[in-house]
Amino acid sequence: MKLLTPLIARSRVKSPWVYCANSGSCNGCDIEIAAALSPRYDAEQTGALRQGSPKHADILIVTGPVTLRAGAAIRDIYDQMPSPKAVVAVGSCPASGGVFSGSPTVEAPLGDIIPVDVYVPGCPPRPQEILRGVIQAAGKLNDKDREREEEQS
Amino acid sequence: MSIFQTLLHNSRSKALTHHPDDRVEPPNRYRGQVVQDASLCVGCTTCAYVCSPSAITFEDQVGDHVAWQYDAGRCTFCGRCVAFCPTHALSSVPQPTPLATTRDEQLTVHHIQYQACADCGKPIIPLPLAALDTFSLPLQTAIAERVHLCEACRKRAASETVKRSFLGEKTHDR
Amino acid sequence: MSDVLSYLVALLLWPGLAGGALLGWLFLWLQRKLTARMQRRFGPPFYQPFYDFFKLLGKQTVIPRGVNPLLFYGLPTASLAAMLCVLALMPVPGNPVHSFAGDLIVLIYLLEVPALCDVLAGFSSRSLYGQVSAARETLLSLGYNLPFLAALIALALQVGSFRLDDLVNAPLSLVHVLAAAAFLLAVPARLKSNPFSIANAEQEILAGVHTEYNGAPLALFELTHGLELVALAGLFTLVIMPALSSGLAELAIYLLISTASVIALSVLAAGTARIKVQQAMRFYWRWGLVAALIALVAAWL
Repeated sequence: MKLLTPLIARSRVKSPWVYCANSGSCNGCDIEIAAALSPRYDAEQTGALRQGSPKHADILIVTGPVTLRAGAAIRDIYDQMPSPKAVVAVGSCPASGGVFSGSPTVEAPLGDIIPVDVYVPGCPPRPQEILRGVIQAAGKLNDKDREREEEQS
Repeated sequence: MSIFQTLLHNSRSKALTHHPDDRVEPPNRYRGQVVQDASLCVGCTTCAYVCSPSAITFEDQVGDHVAWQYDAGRCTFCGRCVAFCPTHALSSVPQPTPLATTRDEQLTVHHIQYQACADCGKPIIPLPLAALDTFSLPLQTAIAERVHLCEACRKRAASETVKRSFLGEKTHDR
Repeated sequence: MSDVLSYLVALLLWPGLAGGALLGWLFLWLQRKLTARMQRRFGPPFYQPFYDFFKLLGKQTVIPRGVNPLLFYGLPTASLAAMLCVLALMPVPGNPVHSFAGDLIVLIYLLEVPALCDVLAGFSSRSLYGQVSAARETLLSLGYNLPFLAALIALALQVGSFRLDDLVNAPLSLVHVLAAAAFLLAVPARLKSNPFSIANAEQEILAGVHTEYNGAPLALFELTHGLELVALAGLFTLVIMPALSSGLAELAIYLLISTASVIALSVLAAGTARIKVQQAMRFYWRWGLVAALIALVAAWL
């Protein structure tokens, strides 16, 4: 297993499988994520694949201001993902609540619920920025794995 | 079967894809990162007033200073602050806001120094002359002279003008 | 070479684990790259399936509550082992294992093991999506196995032997062409690719039977899929390939025809949409039956 460690470390950066979770977003950011997967920006060229199951994913992409009902679901999805994992908050809503901040039905910011690794600003952000956010988050996976191992030992 | 013709055509032609580092330039009118020139700001709070998600706030007003705070993680990039800024201190660059790894990185804080009253030196918020220009309302020269005065000095100047018009030039010597 | 050693080489080197995995990753990459090119995209880099596999190996494995860990680890291992045995039995050029009487029957049984493991994995993983997918896979296997088995039985009937070596060395005839047609009908459904991607319908029932699988077991399932691709493309090649004396030319033709069939499969997958399970069953029990009967009758005469 020790022999495989550098190989696995490189593979993690090169193969970020993503799971997209909408936590009450207006759909603007989701459309831009769809654009990032489209032929023009082609997320697959970086190895990113959209997965249907959070158990297959390395990176969780969250859009939306985390409504009360979505909050529990987001926490659940994050707990289901096997380590190492990273979170990308797309748009202004998960970062702070955006225009919905202060609403009694909104649990934003996302950072209070799960640890966020990359914030992609914009309302909505450009598809390439989302892609760069995913790449940046994939680069952090190895550090997170090391931290987890240190915590366990 | 025309789908297979399409597939054949697609595989023959060049890919449409942009590499993540090969940035697609946004259009000129793209409302990207909001930047502020702190030297032009007079602290009139118009931007904070028009900002619907309250991404711009004015905090810690101490003496002649105020902290202008802008949170890129709250902004909706609607461009209203840029449109309404009377001194054109705010502008939006047609480039996306850079990615951030913490919320603190998204916060911009500028300390704005209020202008001093030309007469007594108290901190003031001057009239937004540029805004008045955009509405093409030329000020009377008498008022334009008092733009850089504080409220108390403006009142005194006005009352002196009134006195002068009633009593003539010499009255204040009495 | 002693028998044990030759089996070990066949299982672990060529055409087993090492060769099969490399060829499987190449074919998986080719499929993804071709699909991307047909959609005017760049597609994944060359090493992508390799990276995917090792990344999954390095991930934490979460066993869902109430699932037997033995089953969770055992099913992917069993399906991988079965696929390795299939590859070891295949009379590809350079295989050190000698053919024995009845190995075609062993091969057919072993080819069924990954599908069986998938179904068990789906039912045992306590996931609704897994159960739906497993039910679909069970039903579909009743459809695609009709032309698949008929093709192999027709060939065996024609040659009069269940030895793979005899099948491979038989001169090309009309039965071969008919059997190849029936075989090709079954291949997309066996590999769960479009338009028969009913069992693993991605985004519709999440990841199908693999929904609850993660980490190393998922990596083994992915590897099994790659090996299945190699095995089916290889079987198709061996059955219709003309017997050549020179080993190197044989290997080149084997790789060429396998690659061509993978290309044809990805073109079909990119150009079609998923059909319903009823439509798939109707297709297999109508056209599959016709192709099977024609091949069997031609072999009989």
